[in-house]
Amino acid sequence: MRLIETIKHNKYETVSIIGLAKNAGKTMTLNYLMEEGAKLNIKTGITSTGRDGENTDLVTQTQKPSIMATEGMFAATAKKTLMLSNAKTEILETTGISTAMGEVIIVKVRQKGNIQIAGPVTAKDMKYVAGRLKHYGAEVVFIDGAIDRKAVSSPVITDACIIATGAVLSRDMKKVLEKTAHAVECYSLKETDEDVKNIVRKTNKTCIISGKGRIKVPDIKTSIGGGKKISELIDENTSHVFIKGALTTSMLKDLWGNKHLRGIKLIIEDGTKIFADINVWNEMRRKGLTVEVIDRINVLAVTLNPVSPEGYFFDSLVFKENMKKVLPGMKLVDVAWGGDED
Amino acid sequence: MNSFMTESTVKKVNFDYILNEIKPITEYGLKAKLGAKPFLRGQEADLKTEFDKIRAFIELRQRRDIIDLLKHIKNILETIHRARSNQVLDEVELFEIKNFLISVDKMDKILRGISNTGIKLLQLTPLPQLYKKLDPACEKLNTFYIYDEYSQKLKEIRSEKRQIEKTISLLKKKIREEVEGRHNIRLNLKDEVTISKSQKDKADDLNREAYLRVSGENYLNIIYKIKNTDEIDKLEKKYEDLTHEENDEEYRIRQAISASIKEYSHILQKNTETIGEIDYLIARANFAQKTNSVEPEIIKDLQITIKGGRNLKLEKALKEKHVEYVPIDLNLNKNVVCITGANMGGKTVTLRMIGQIAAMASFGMFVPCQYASLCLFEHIFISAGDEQSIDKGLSTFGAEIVGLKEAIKSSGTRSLILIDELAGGTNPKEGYAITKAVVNYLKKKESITVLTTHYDNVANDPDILNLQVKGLKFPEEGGGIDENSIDQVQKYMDYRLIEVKYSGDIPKDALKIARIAGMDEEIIKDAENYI
Repeated sequence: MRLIETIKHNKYETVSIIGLAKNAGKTMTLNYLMEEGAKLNIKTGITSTGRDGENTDLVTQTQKPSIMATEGMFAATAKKTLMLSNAKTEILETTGISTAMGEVIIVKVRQKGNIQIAGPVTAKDMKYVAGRLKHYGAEVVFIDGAIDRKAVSSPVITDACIIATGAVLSRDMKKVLEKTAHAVECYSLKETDEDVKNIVRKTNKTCIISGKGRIKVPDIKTSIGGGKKISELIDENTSHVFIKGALTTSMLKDLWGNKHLRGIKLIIEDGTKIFADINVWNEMRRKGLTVEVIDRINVLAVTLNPVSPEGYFFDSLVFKENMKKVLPGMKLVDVAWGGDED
Repeated sequence: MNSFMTESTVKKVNFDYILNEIKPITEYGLKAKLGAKPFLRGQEADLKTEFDKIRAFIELRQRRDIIDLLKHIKNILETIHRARSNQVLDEVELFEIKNFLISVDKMDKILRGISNTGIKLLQLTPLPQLYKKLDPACEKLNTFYIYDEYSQKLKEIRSEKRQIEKTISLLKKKIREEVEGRHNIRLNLKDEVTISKSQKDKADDLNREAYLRVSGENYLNIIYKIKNTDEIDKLEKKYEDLTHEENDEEYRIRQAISASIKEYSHILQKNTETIGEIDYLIARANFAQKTNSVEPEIIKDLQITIKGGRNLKLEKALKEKHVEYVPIDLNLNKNVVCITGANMGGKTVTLRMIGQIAAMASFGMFVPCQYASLCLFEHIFISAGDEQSIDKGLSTFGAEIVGLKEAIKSSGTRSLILIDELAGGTNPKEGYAITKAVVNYLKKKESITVLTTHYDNVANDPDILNLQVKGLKFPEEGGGIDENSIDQVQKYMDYRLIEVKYSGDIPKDALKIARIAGMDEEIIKDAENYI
């Protein structure tokens, strides 16, 4: 089944696309899905959590494919970026949601062309905009997503997520495979029990939970650098430790020093909050670290881009074959070369 | 507002709280609220009309429908301004004007169906001629696009573009199939194929293919990409030229619509003002209902009568502490009114209640009480514990005198002057003298002065109305008080005001209150020795 059909088949209405690095092929994936949608007569909508679709990437100054909007699709983008687009659009709604690039406008594409997408910033606004795109007729809404240490990551607010990975992550294919597998592992971590979720949602702060439901809140401003303080509060009665925000290498190391940790479940908001070194992470997982999440992310597929803007590229087939070995059962699509296999 | 009420008075009678709680939906409504002026003496009839409008909205069945419309109305003032200065509006701006016209039309239909005379005064002007320009295809949708129907030229350009697009796509497909067939390769979505350098024959083969060019190469692979034929190049050039023409034509169309908007800009602006007025009226109607407020009767004589009056901010603060606010009745029918009575008897609260009700009525709002009749004032002034002036370096007494000077100055025109504990912060002898003199001065003026005082003999004057707080009332002498705390005072205080004829002394409840509040018995006993 083609990727777009899988989305339709599973009745996913909102899908976020997350790039594991700049130029990992996120925009290419979006273009691919838009085209596929047009070919199969599936009405699509698009928006983003950050500015995207510029001709050159602002960070690396490399050529970046802009989003090619096809006739009949829907988009939500900030006014300034809309005015820079050359697709001809019909204005459907001015949402009142403001961004650095102006108010978010909802449009229908009347004549194909490039379009720049800069959508809303907050999760609440994003939900509203996705809802409006559906209201106007989009069967699937794609969110050009971003992961964030502090704010709500876009995969959490969508039905499913597609991860874009590519040669740009490393010249060493093995490293690319490792990083991709790590991301998928993190995103797919098991959801914690409902009662723990309730406690955490209520507290909404980094906290230490004992078996009897007692909650201790350490006096720290952010979780970064707070590992030692959290560790001090862990004792033989502790059952869960909830970390709000980023789970970093230094925090993992601080926590690992605690002798009670082995029987404790570490809870994080979602898999995008893990910013720990892969080796440290793997080592701890081997030694028995249990990590669960509040929101599990549904990884639908991984798209591959064997070309790096630095000029090197992997052999498409070899790259895909190797990825299959580290991610058995995962749907893989090489968006740069072949797309879905017919 | 400054000459009617100073900033300090606005704060102390909690009128700022009222303004914050009245929430229009649109920016026009907000503008109407911020620009609101008080109704002054002589404008009684205008104020009556304003109250009629508020009452009309309270009773209006379609109020919900109007509110729903207001929620969708955007601020187009900037756009109107741009059109007036001959700017060419963009599609989003045209969309907003179109939607504004649709909203005006819908609201006008609702208003026309209402026979109420108050609402008849609020007239909108629908602009079907201008709307037509924003919906040339008569689609009756609230979306906007530079539609093909705008000009024959635009229609032709777009149709030709579509034709060229189709031709290019067919040509490319044909070449692609030809190349794939000839060399037994599969091109990707970008019309590219990667060949390993080890397949030398294949590479040589592709090098000779006229439709392909090398687009990338490294030590392992070569990437080939389909090249455009001259025919495709020409078509693409033509497509680009047409796009430029299309953009020019669209610009011309936007320019023409913008000119029409300019032509109607004064009506558009008038409509925004009327919408603002409606919005602000509805906001006041909603607030009146939410706070159980009533329409005050506006009279010409210098008099204030209030039944069940409340100060809304204090009421809310008490509600949060689960304490009941006791509404107050009063009838201020003399030029000077003294409120006397126990400490913690609500005298200051009463002053702020009177001020708030008078201010709300003057600004065309219903008032929080069961009934009120009052006249309109030129000024409202209150003097009550002023922390701000103390910050400025003035003592309590200093700040009071500075304020009082202003009040005395304005007492020549009809004013409402509210004074809490006049000269309470200085020595009793002089304090009394000043108070008595101020009262003597103000009782001859065409103003209402209400003051609270602890001094004996100030109210000892037949020209002055003396209202007294009923004061502490115990269930049985000595019994019933289980716990000594300040909260107990609220429990046993009767806040009602009664008119008293001069009786010599002012009741001394201070010691009783101090005792209930749990003050050291030794001190209380000692104090009693000095009375």
